[in-house]
Amino acid sequence: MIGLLMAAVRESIQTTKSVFSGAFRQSQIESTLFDRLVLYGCVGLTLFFVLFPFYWMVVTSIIPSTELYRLPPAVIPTEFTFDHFREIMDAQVPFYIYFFNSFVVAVISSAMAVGISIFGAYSFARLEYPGRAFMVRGVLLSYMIAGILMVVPIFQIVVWLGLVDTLTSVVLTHFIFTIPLGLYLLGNYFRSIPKEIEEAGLIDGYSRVEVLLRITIPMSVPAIVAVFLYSFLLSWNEYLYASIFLNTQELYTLPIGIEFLQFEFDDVWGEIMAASMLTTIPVVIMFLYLEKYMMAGLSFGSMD
Amino acid sequence: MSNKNTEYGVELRNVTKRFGDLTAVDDIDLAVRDGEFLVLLGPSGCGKTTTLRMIAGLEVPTDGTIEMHGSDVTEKLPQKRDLSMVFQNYALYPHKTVEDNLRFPLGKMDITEEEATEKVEYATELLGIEDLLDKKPGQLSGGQRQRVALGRTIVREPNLFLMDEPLSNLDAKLRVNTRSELKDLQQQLGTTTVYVTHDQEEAMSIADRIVIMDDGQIQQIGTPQEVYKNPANEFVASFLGEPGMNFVQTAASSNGSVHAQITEPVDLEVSVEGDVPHSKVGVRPQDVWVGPGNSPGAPRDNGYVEISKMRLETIDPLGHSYELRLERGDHSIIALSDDVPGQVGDEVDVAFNRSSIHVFGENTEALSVKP
Repeated sequence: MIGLLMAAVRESIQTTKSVFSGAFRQSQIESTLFDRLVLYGCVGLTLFFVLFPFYWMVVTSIIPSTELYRLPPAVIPTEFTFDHFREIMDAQVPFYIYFFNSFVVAVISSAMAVGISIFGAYSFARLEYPGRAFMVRGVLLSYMIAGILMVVPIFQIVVWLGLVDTLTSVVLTHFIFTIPLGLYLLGNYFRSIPKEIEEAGLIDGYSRVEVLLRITIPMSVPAIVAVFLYSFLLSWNEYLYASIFLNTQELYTLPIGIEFLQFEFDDVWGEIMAASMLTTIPVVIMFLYLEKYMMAGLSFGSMD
Repeated sequence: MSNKNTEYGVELRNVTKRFGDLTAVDDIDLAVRDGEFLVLLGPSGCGKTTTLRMIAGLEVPTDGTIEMHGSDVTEKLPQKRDLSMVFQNYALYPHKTVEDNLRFPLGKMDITEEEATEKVEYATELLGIEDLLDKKPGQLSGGQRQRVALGRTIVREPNLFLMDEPLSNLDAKLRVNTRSELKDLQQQLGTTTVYVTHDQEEAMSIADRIVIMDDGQIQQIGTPQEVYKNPANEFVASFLGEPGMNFVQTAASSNGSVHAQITEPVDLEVSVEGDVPHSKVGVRPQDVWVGPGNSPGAPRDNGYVEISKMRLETIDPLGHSYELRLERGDHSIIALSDDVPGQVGDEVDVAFNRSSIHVFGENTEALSVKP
């Protein structure tokens, strides 16, 4: 796990380095010191705004609560403790239960989204049938509707299906909300693959489904990974529906679990930040790991 | 017997393909002989690629039937037609190595792993691409990709090769080399080949027979010599040859004799069946003689007939000869000449080679010429 993380970090540092050296190779000729200062200044400011909340999260999770309320606040902490982590793991419902629930929900719903999107998007991109244009637009339209508007109808459906207070209801809902973008992204990606490559497969003796599985999908790994990541993140962070459908504490997913911490602990910020840390880390690792697949396919060259 | 043996490998009967309002291929009949190298030639949008795609099974004809060795394949899927195809952009599988690209078509054949390896080796040896096997298409040059695409086409040893402008993405020199190799390869394998191109030089050099298409219709089918020497109509005459054929209006005539008119009618001393009031005379630039204005006249003894005096407008050196543009009034004629008959602006004598005169009738059809 640590090795993987290190490798991923090293890789992204390498990417960052090459991007920067690329930017400056160009500016070596034309830029003045002032130009470079402005550029570095902007980059630094952006990084500060983006990263400071994360930094504060990390700090809060590893300092004693007493330190947290000191005035003026200590930007660089001097005392460290892992008590917050220990406490959330020793709680009445240990934190890893939420973690497990979220993981199950996110993996199943995004796997479903990817699987269905592949076939749906392929039909949008390549097959001719009546009503296709209507469906393509309809899918996008459904993506435009705000989630909160769908709470009541979806809740009614969940009640009707008898799925209230089950993880299945959350899986289905997350799946419903991720599939339009999956269809849209993959549809566009499939359209960008030259038709001739698939036709070559047909002529080489393979059926359409075989061509899809053996040629189109392997060529679309970047888009498929992107759809999976997007679905996973959406599901991992989704709060609204999970909070409405789930009542039993043992079934809570991470976002509700974190919220629930404040009912269990008094001086709650350290615990919440520790929980947030644990929620963030797997997503970061996964992103660092899968990122290279998203880039890998972009330099294909079968065609002139 | 569904598999009766015919002379024809592929036969198209009354085939029409419409895309909405657009008629891409308009009621064509075409028979491809077994083992021949047939080239579909025409300007872009003439329906040649659509015709090829219908033979491949990638498009289904709106009307008509397609037969292969006597059995109807009109609606058969491409994978069941036992043919292979080279695409203009090669369409190699980018995520597979060259070897896997070549092996892919064999995956659906009923052969052992060793036989597949043998076939791949045979194809790579034939094309000289042994050293590319581990590379991916993205690492290859245009010429190498073209070879791999060709390899993928021949590896399965199908009944029919289809090629859609396979050389158009190569640079000029490589194109000329590759096309003679392609011809050799086809003769060596003896596989019926249908080849699409818009490049007449390529078509001429490679084809056993050429099918010239325009506007979704077949204009003429014949050997390269036939279509060049005896074009069936004005389109074929003007499409083939570089620079293109010159056309001159004829004057009213009688007894079928043909008079070209640039300034005043000139008897070309050739005749056609019947009287043709609205005909045109066609002469290729290499059959136009140009001489200095005060010369003794056109080389009559060599079968030339003088047409008119014209002004020499431009002289373009081509290396092996000169391209001359001659004008008089609204008329303009292009001639190819080994030497320069004068300077720009000079009045020169222009004569046509009588034996190479083509006459086209009212409906642009070629009329048979009697000297």
